[in-house]
Amino acid sequence: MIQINEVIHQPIRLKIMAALFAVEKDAEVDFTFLRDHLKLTDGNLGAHLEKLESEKYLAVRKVFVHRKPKTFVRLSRQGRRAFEDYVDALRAVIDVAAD
Amino acid sequence: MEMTREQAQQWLQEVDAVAKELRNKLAYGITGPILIIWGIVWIVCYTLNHFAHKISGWVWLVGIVLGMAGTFYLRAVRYRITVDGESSKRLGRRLLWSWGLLFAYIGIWLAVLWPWRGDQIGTFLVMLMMFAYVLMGLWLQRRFLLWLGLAVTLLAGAGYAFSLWVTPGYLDLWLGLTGGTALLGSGLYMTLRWR
Repeated sequence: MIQINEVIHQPIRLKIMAALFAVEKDAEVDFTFLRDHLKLTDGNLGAHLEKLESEKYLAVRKVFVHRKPKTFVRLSRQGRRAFEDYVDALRAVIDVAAD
Repeated sequence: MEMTREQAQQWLQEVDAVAKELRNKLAYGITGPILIIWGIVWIVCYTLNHFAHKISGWVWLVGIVLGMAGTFYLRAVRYRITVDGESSKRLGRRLLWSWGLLFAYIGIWLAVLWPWRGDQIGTFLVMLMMFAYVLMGLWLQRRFLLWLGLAVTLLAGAGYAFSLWVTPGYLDLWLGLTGGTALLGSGLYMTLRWR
């Protein structure tokens, strides 16, 4: 039985993880940019980020840039590994079904 | 959790789509406004070259300084605020140095090649800039820049040939309109598509 990570296996959280995984390893993504890119509301994105943060899959950093508050989000090492495992699990489902 | 092959494929496609869209947005989202800036610089400077030839040196100096300042602002401030990472900072620094060195070399080449005719040097500079776009397109895997560079090079070459053998005296206007409009149009397309 192939184990699928149920925290990541949710449409919005999957998009968040995929987007953060797509940028370079050490990069932080601006909250507003992520919200607009995924076409989410502040509250919706915030709630899913909290869930992922509670699993230690990502790190959130709040700073002031040009005197304005900014929130940056980054995948943690654990989150990156969890996402890779999740994608591997999906591939395994495809491979097993093909055999 | 039970999952069929088709469902797994759909989820994987979703992952690929999100990643591809984001990478394109990051790459072209910043390239678009930069192309708009240089498109405007080209159109204004080449057009003034044609109508006010005596001040063309100053016009280009101001145009290049404004273009570089705008590019630096977009690259260093706007992009960094969207995605902040050491690799992107390093890439930005390398690009900045590459363009700075290219402009410095152009200054040296112009001195070495003197005397030259205005139409020769105008076409040479357009082709040189487009060669840089082609290289960036290849190295950064931005196909759009590659094709844009090749297309404008062809247009510039055709304009130069026409100015030599068919209609002399209109090369600056041609370079401004074709090259400048190509940059401006591509920049607008990228900005609207990947905003």
